[in-house]
Amino acid sequence: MKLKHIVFSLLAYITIVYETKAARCLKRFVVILVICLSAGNVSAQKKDSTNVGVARGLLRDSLHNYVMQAATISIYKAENGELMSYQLPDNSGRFQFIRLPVGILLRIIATNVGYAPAKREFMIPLKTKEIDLKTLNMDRLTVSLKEVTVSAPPPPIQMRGDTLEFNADAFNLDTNAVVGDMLRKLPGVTIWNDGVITVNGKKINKLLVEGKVFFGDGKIALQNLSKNAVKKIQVYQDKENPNPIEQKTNMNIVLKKDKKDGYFGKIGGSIGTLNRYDGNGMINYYSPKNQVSVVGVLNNVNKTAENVNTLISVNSFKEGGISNDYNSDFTKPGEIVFKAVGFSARHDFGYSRDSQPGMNQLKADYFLSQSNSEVDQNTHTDVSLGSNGHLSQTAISIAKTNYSGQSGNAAYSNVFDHNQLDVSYYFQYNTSNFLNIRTNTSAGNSAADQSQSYDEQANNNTNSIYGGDIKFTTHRYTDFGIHENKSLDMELSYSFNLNHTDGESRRVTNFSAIDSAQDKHFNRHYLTQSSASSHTIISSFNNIWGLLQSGTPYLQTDIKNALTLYDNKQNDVVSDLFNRGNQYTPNTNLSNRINNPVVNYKPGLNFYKEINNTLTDRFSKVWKFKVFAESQIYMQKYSSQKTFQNLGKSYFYFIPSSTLVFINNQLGEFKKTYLLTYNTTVTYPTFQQLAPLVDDANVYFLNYGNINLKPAYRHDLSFTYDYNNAEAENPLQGNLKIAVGQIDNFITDSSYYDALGRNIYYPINVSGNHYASLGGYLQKAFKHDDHQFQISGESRFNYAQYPSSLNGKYYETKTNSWLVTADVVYTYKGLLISELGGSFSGNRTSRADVSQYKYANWKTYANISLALPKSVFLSTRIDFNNSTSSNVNAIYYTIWNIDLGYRFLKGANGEVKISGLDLLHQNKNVINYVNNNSISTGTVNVLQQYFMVTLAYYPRRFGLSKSKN
Amino acid sequence: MHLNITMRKTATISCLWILSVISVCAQQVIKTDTDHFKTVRIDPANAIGGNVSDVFDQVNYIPLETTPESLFGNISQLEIVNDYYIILDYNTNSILVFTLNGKFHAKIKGSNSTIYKFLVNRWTNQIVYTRDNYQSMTYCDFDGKVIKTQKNMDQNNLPIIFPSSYFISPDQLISYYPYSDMDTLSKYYQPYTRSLLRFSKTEGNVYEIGMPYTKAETKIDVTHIGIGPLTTFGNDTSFFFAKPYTFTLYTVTPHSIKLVYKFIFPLLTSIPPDFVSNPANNLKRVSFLQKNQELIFSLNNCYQVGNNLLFEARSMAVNQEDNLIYNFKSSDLIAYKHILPDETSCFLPIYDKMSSNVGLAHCDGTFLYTSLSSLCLFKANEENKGKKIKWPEALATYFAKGSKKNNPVILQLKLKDNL
Repeated sequence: MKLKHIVFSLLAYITIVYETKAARCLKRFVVILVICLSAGNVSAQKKDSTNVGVARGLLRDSLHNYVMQAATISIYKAENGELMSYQLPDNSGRFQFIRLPVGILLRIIATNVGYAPAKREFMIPLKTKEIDLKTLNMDRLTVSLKEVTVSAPPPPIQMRGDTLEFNADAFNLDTNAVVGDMLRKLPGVTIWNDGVITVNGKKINKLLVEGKVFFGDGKIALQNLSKNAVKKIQVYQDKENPNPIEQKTNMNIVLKKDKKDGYFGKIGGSIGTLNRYDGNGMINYYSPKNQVSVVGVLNNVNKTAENVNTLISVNSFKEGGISNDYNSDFTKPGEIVFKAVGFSARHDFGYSRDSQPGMNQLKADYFLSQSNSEVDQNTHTDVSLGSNGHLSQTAISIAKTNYSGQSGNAAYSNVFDHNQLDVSYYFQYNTSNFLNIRTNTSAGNSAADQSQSYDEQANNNTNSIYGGDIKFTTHRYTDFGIHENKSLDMELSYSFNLNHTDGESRRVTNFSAIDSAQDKHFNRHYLTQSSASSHTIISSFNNIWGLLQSGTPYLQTDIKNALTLYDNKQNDVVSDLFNRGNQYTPNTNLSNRINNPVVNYKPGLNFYKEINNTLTDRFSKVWKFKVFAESQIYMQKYSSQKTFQNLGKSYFYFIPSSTLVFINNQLGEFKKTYLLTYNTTVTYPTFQQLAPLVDDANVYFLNYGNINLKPAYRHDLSFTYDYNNAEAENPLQGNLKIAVGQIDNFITDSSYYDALGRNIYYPINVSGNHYASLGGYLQKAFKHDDHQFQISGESRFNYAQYPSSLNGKYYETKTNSWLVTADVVYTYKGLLISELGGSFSGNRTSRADVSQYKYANWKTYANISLALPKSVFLSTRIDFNNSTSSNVNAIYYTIWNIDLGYRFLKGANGEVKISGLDLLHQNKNVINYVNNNSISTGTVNVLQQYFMVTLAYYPRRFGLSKSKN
Repeated sequence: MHLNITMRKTATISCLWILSVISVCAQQVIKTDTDHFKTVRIDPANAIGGNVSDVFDQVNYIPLETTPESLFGNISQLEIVNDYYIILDYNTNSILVFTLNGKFHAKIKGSNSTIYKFLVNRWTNQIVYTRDNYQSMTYCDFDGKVIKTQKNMDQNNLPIIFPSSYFISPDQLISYYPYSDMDTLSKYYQPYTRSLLRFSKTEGNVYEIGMPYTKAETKIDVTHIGIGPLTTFGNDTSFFFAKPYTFTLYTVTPHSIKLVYKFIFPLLTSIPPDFVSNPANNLKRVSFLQKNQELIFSLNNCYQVGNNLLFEARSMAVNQEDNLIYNFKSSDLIAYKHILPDETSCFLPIYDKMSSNVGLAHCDGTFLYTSLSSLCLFKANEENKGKKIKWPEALATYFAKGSKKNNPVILQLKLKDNL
């Protein structure tokens, strides 16, 4: 018999135990951090021939008769206060500094929370090159004295409870330095080339400013916030994640009291040769409760963005080293004129790190963009017909697109003590005009097998999307008053999406062949209206056995349900203009009205078990098993004016998935994670695959359906191994992944080519689709004083084989692809960042006895960003590209860009820059792709050589309240 | 007039008290004697440090044998009886028995249910623990052999032995129960429900209670961290009881409860004086402490050795001045974590700041016991490389053959008589 009373009382005790353990774990983490730092030769010492002195001593609180173990000792040059070195004493309060300058007056300052700083000036004798400072005494501050300002520079690092703090003022940097520059100076902190930050090998989970997300991305704080606005940087365990085994680490930037609000932004304009231009403007305002951004861009140099946050992150005061992702994209096909304006706002109704939970915030974004693009493409396609020879096809197309769109979203979330509410709403509205002129030719084995077509399509589309969701989450918790567990672990959500499209298009197609009887001419007009709506309800009741018994159930069981109802409608009105006619005639074959309701219901039971084998101070080994027994009921119905399209299909599938994880965390040595996953998914045939109306104006590609098509059932099995060492200065991380899978009833092509190159296509189910992949990456950083190397490499190999049908015969297609990259980055202070790397990607596809195609792309690149004296900076990048492909000659081209800039005005807020892009005038965009029995190669128009002059101003002020006062 | 009001007040309070006593009349209520107590003013910030030899006469490190069978994580509970160390380890969910020289003797492996605490019956030489959340209790001897399993339900279907229970005779127990907001209409409500201390027979009946509380006090939400609030220190039938949130220490024996020490901490670093009595704090006390992590709110690990009182002044935050030794004669206050290693401790630390540790885990009236991880000791040994240290044999073998992954080491400390 389960006794409520026992449960209550036991829970009280269980809570006691876990509280104790959690608190102790936290302590241990802190202590280990301290030890890592103190043992890691924390120093920022100047290294030259005069820096050979040694100073040692003992730090004590003599009044209370103990040594100071948690204090910070810093050494400064007496004459100018320049920080020379700092460290924490060892367990017996002793400290020893090496590589200090000799023969000059130095000042040692020891600081500890609750103590008055201890100071002493000294000089290391030239003769002995060492000095014993004996005992340095510290005095506790009385409560009243704590209010008195004590004149001493803040210690570079210190522990405050469970938090490691870096005091910004202790680090002397350029007055224009930003937070990112400071982080690079901090001991144990590594900013990786991909933007990831690690502290003592631990990846930073969240980068916050004043306990909050800063303009949607930590990178914005790193590259914009002035170091001088920062009081301190805190590193601590994420308290929102209670799992002590997988503790996550957060970084929080605390601003100075008078810098809690401010603004930063950019206004810049560039003009260049070939009428190139590029203008952008942005302003961001922040205060303790609000963050607002307004941003706009205008350019014809292929710089595009899809949302406000991208534009905010690329208009940074300081770019993130050499990886400026908003340079002119020389690989982007075509030429694009892009204009956009948007805003983003966030209001916090009350949230600070100390009072968590209690996050209560509203976010809203709006983005309006317009783009005009022209893409000119020439491709040559070789189609192998097996024993029937091959086809040689060319296509020349010019595509012009005018797009304008606006989107917005608003999201409100409120985190209460034991539950959370999230509500969001979004909309998109866009119009596009598209004109595509395409000329195709096809040549077969004989002179008679020649055909060509001219195809001109003009489309006008308007599309609107509205949607939203509401999600309510609750957590089970212990009420300490009555020693009872309350509430339950549950997630409930509802979401909807409404999509409406109006389209009009006109298509003119002229097809001709040597045999004029095959000639065809179409002038066709399409009016399409479609609407789609979906409503989804998801529920998850977690750990249901936990509601019925005290303690942890042997197996955690969750009940999950997801129901989505779709309602799709489409109305097509198609008409033709025949030869010599001047009036369109309705095309009854293609005009149609379709209703398509769909029910997608996925009930499931999730079973979870965790086995934890931990030996305190030695290791934690955790096994996690998860089996998700899920099934799917999928019912779709089609009602059409065409009888053959009136379909009803119902499916039921069991789609289980499971995960097995083993984490081996050896304290102070490494963390290894092994992950084995098995997943199943079902892909249901679309209406276009089952029973489409065939548009004969698409002469070269007639897409027929297959009403007997079955869903494809996919099995995926993957194994992942992750390695992460715990070294503060030389972190290493790596990953290896092996995946295999197969698809039952794989949906593939059955194609019939005639001699004139026309392809009649319909989908079929085949068995025998298998695939495998193997890949991994490795990253290693070496830090020595101000020098840092980062080495990274990645390799992925994919293999797939599947059957398909060509002109009535089945062929087995095998395809291999391989990607390899390697990269070395060297950083010296904030003055030099250089990078050297290369990549290779290749593909080989073969059909037994029919064709074998391969292509490969090599790229070697080098990058240098250099801060020169007098605020001059130089950045240059060169890419050597080599592209080879079956049947065509290798293509070599080199892209070389260079920027030379100068920062001026107070605070370096002004910038003038001269840029030379594609200096060698060689840029190309090479197309390579293989599709079963064909390979296509070609080129697309791209940006080529131009020069630009840029003038930019970065308005920045941190601390508006002060200026108001 | 003034006298009349006072008398009326006194009469009212007396009536209320009588009513509350009547409500628990099924059991005898042990009156709490608050007449004679000593007020101790403690300012942890002014605690002093010193060297090991200043504070301790003896310091013995006892490495615990490390074999695949005896390997464990951490000492969460330590009892010493009949030449054995009896250790509870949450990591392996087991009770381990080592001889006093550290040799592995026996192991009791827990079931799927976590062993949160065990009891030792010193009269019958038995280890008592539960394998099923206190539905029944398993009795073992010191060889780990199961003697019996006994149902742990009284006639009212309530548990007899509770996590914070101690044997006070072969068949009698004292137990601490936290404040409970149980409704009087609940079928589990008993006349003794609203009492913090209960004395019962092993077969079930509660025959005495102590520290009864009123309905108004049922909404005092408490979280306990560390060893307590009942602690024992050498006398099998005498305990310290640290009443939650009051900074008061009582001695509890089978027939008496006496207030002995009342602590006063600096206002700025401890919970407000009305923290426990102010009804506005009801059910908000734990969350208040979580938000005000620096405030001292609890006394844990309370022991007395001669003229020395040892206790932990606990806050939610990490603190170097929380484990304290107070000497009644000199009024000196020593911060245990600030005591520096010296020759007496072979230059090894006496406090493990690298480990999650329960602090001073046991006191037998003469010696204090705590533990250190091998990680901590091997690191210290590495730092001591330059020193010529004369190791006791056990430690010499430990450092020669062991590693930082060995079992924790028990530290036995004997305080100086005159601090």
